[in-house]
Amino acid sequence: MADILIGGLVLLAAVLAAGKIIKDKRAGQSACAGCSGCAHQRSCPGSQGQPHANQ
Amino acid sequence: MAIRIALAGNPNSGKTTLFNALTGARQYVGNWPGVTVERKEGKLKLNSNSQQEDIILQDLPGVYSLSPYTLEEVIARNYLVDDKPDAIINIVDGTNLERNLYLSTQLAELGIPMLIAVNMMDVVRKQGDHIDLSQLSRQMGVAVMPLSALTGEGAQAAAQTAVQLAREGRSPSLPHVFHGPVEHALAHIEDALEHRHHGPLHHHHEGNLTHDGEAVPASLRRWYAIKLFERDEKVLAQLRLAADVRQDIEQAITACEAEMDDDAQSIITNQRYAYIQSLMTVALRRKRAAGELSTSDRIDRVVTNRLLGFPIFIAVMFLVYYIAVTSIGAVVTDFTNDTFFGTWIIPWLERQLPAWGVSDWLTGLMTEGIVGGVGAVLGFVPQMFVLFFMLAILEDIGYMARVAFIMDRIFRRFGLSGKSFIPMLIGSGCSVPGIMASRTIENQRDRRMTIITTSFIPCGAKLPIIALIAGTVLGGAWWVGPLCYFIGIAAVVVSGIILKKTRWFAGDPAPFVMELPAYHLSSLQGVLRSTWERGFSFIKRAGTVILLSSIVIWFLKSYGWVDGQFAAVEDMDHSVLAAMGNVVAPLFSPLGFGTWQNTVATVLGLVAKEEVVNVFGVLYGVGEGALDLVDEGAFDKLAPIAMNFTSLAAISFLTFNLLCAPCFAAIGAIKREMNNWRWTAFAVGYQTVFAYVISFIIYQLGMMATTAFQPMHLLPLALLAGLLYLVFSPNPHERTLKPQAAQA
Repeated sequence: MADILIGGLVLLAAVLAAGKIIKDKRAGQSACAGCSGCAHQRSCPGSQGQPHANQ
Repeated sequence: MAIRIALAGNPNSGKTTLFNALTGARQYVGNWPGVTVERKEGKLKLNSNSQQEDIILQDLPGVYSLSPYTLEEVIARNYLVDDKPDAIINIVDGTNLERNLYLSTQLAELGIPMLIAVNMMDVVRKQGDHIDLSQLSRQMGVAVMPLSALTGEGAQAAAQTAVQLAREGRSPSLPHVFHGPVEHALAHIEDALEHRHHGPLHHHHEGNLTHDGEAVPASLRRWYAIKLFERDEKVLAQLRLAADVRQDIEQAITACEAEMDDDAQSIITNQRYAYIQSLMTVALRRKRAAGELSTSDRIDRVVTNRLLGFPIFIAVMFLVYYIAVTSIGAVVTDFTNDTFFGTWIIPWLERQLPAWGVSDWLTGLMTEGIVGGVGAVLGFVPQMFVLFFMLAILEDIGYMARVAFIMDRIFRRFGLSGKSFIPMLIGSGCSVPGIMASRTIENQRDRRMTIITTSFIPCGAKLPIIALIAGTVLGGAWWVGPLCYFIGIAAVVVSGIILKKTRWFAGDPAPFVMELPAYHLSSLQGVLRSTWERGFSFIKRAGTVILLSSIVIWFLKSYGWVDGQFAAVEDMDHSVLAAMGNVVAPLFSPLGFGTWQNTVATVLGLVAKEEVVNVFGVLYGVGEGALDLVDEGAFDKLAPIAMNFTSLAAISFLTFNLLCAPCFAAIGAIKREMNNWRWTAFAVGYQTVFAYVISFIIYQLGMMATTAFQPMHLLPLALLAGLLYLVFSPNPHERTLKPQAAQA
């Protein structure tokens, strides 16, 4: 039972991490913490034309 | 329909600071010119927006004029002329009013409602100077307001006035900049545009064209007339004037040039400055006598001194890396590794998980794999934060802009300009934005060379590798951190020299003109924000890429084939990971670190440079007090890592990992910026071969010094001789690579 619970938590964490990586990759932000700190956000494929402030 | 307000001004005048203050955004603000390459937009947050309208604020790249020479100027000018915002907030640096108003006179000619916000008024007052804003407003024909973007003073008032101006849609009255024959010629050109030009305006860039097929709009007629007078090629191509109209205009320009005995562009520039000079006499009262040095000038006499500048820079960077890696940073990292993970988290998990009935393999995965791996990376985050904090302070007070100036003198001798150092400064946080920042370099050869060499400067993710090797193998030596930084700079210089001798990169570096901002005290809030934003990416990656790879690495190192069956292995040397690493390991044997563990760490460094530490974390449990053992001098207890490396092999390992191909994300950035797979392959290949050769020379020559001479030692000697030849042989393409740094 403990194995299922802890194993499930590990699996969930792994799935969430993988999901986040894929989502960031698709948004073209796999390399950074997001666009807010970057002077070049407009050239990020995921942020083209996307106003990031106050979204 | 949303109101669109553009923020325009000179580089480093505080546009992005105001943009952040008004939109609540957190755009990167740097105290050097050229931080904003692209335009950015955000929703304006007004304290009193009773009509609840959408108000969009556009942060434009800093420009000195609306000429079409640089990428930033083209972006700013295209937006202002084609997209026509409803109002412009022109931010001018109050401490540098004369130069900033040069752009203001051009913006006023666009016929867009405009407000001049005189920034840094707190500094102006502190200097004892006085700017007569109402006089300035009267002369310029636009509203003028005081501002301190850093403290937020006047920001809301300026925004509200700009919104009001946008709603009214009233064009500013044109300032009387030009006179005599120039005004006569301009009137002639305006007349030609009004009555004789009926052809369509031809726009050859990004959409949003509103007046295709119409004559030049009245509000823009003045601007077009001046640009035609200056013989602006982009405007000439855009207007597609009939031959006779063009001839008439040319006659008017030529006549004016003959009368003024100067060329058209210089005439316009001179008259603008003459007009600004007349403004200064009525609107500005300086406390400091003309020619007297300001505090910044006095500091610069020492800091940018031809002889002292570079030694001071070396001392500063030594101090920064010493504090980040060895002293304060190490104390916090030791606490995180030894106390937080080593004493609290891991022992607690080791006690609790079996007590809850969790099986041994899952306990191992949790403690050795996930906490060991992720913890090893997180343990070094404090050091990164200390490093980023100090770099942010240096940047904010204005020192980093001086560094670019100092480096220009050195880089120029080796074929690069100080402009190449800006991407490298940004790259000390992360190579990806550093590589992207290279797009401000107009010369394509210099740009390619900068892209190739930027990742030689250690990014934040390489800091854990430096700290790990310095701490566990090199006895916590204080000089390792600074040395790595200077190895990076040396690699840039050597590569610059070598590459400039090839026909693909030959040619003089572009002139470097950079305005040095006045020194000012850092804003703690700004520094902390910058530190957090740079550092957060590593925490984020620890929770994603590092977490996943920790799990995979743990499985690969814990399982393998035993007696023909796939099962858990007692000895890691029989694991799947060892089998994989052993295939590539012989490649690294000549560099002194050809074990499968080091090979796996190095290869996985391509995923993210922190992976190097992560691999050691999972394999050896670095998070479990390794650094503490170093402090105690208990190197024998560090057998797994220490046995992997001799000191020489550790330096070779560190050098290779610092200089070889960067992580996949940075390689992707190289591909985007090169826009060419062949150049990308060349960049990655060059970096890796260069790293291999340097590490090979270091290790083999080191071995030569400690062992008897063997014939195979001739190879590193030959490589060293070849490298020295490439560096010191004359440049076959050299014409005039002479220092020509200019200080604005």
